[in-house]
Amino acid sequence: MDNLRTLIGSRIKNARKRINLSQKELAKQAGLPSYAETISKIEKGEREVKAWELVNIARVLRISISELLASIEPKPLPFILWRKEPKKDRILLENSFIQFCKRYHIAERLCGMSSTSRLPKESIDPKSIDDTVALKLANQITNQLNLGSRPAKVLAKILEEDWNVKIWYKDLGEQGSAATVVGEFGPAILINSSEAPWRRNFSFAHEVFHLITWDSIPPKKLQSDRELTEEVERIAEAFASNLLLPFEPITVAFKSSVKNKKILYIDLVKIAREFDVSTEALIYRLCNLRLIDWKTGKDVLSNPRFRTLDKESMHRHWRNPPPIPERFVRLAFSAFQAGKLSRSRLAEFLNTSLIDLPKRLMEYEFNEQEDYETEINTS
Amino acid sequence: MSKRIMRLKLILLDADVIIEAYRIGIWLDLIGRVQIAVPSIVAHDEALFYSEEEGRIPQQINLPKLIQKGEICELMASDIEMGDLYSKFDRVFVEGLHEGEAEAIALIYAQKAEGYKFCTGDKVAIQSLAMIGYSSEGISMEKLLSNVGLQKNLSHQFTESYFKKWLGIGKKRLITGNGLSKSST
Repeated sequence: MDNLRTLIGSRIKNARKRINLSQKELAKQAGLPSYAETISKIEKGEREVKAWELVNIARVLRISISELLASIEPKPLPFILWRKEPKKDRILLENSFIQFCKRYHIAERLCGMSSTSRLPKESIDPKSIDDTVALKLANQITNQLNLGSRPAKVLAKILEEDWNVKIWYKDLGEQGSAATVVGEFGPAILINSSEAPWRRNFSFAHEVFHLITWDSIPPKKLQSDRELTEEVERIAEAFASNLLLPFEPITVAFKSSVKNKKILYIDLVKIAREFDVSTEALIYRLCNLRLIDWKTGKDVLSNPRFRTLDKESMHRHWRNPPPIPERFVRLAFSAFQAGKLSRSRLAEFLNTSLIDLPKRLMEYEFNEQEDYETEINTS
Repeated sequence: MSKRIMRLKLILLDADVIIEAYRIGIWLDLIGRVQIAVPSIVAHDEALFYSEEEGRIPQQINLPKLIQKGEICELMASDIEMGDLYSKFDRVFVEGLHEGEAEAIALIYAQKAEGYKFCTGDKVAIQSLAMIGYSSEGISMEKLLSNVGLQKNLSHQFTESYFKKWLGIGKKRLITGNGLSKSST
């Protein structure tokens, strides 16, 4: 009994230290008497913690009560690889990301699904990666993931639905762009929801490179080797470009718009939107494929008329990501329907209150009162 | 003898039942007829608002105020009691149970809510009660209201048939060990 209390105390202490929170601040944020002493006693296992206090502490620390009460020690948090590390609140953001992944994992497990990464793992030597590796990997992944001729249009959905990659959209504003993690919950990608859709697509493709090379180029190694990081990031960009703008489809699309060895600005913008990439990504790819020369490419990108056409087209094609991934909502709702996830927990998973739950579910076309048990015979 | 002690039925309420009671306008009648207790998490964290109809402006439920006035009482489980309950279930099952419901069941399991019946319309909570062998400590909202003369048309999840169905599933789980920890089977 005392042993459990000591365990709870040390878990609270570890989680608090991870987010650099003082004992006094934790007490204050958790609605406990705001003295460092309160938390100090709890951390030493010298004070009983009421259930409501546990809930409040767990919420501040972004961990679950079951982790605090578990008889076995929870695994250490996995390493998160940032494309551009946020300057503010990084640890809190990481904890929220992990919490989302864990909840997603719970929904999967309650539905009897495995979260094992099904993404292909590519064994490459970090010392000898170059552009040809990027091209080879991109072609392989295009085929293995069945991405078709317009990969950006389907990449996120295929990653999530077919390859068990968890996707969390979070508004990171100007700070941070994307992050990747592989934990016991499987692979996951964090995408900045405030970015343009085509930029998000590029981030997805970039992060896929990290996921498939996660074992070959361990993220911790990247953290400690700046030179390697720069090279790997460059190759990840080349991979993303090759993946989203595959040689044949992009060449065909480009050439079919060329008349008398010229192509209209508006046609370039249209091709970018058709492939769901930014005009910058398209122009660089066309330069790389030598379909236009570098000087022309740079001139186009700095031309105000081209920029205006690009901007006008953006408004029409802009779409925001879902606040919560559809697959996660579907799994959580299925678990709820099957009597495996309580209604309050479902509301918590969907970031809403009990009374707003029906509204949130309707946004995803689910209705609690609906009878979803009607079946048909299969042949 | 105070009015509160005169009320013979002791009921431990889950958040969904409180919200439903407010929604259909019987809350005041209910607390006048039965001795209500709420788990601390439900009181402070879950049953916060209700809405008479979907889309209407939410109204506040102030349970702490009622607790302060002695109209209802608050029961608190400790960390150890919560731990004891969680250790009964396997890791996957317990993740589906909300802390508010877990606290109510932990209180029953720790004999800290003696004489109280737990009233909930939540599938997981109803099953959990049966899975720890405390089926008789649960009551559906329909039955509760009928016992105190407050019959109303309720949403399906608060009916006796719904309660019995999930209690039955929980009892099966108790027999098969499905959802229970290895040490409990």
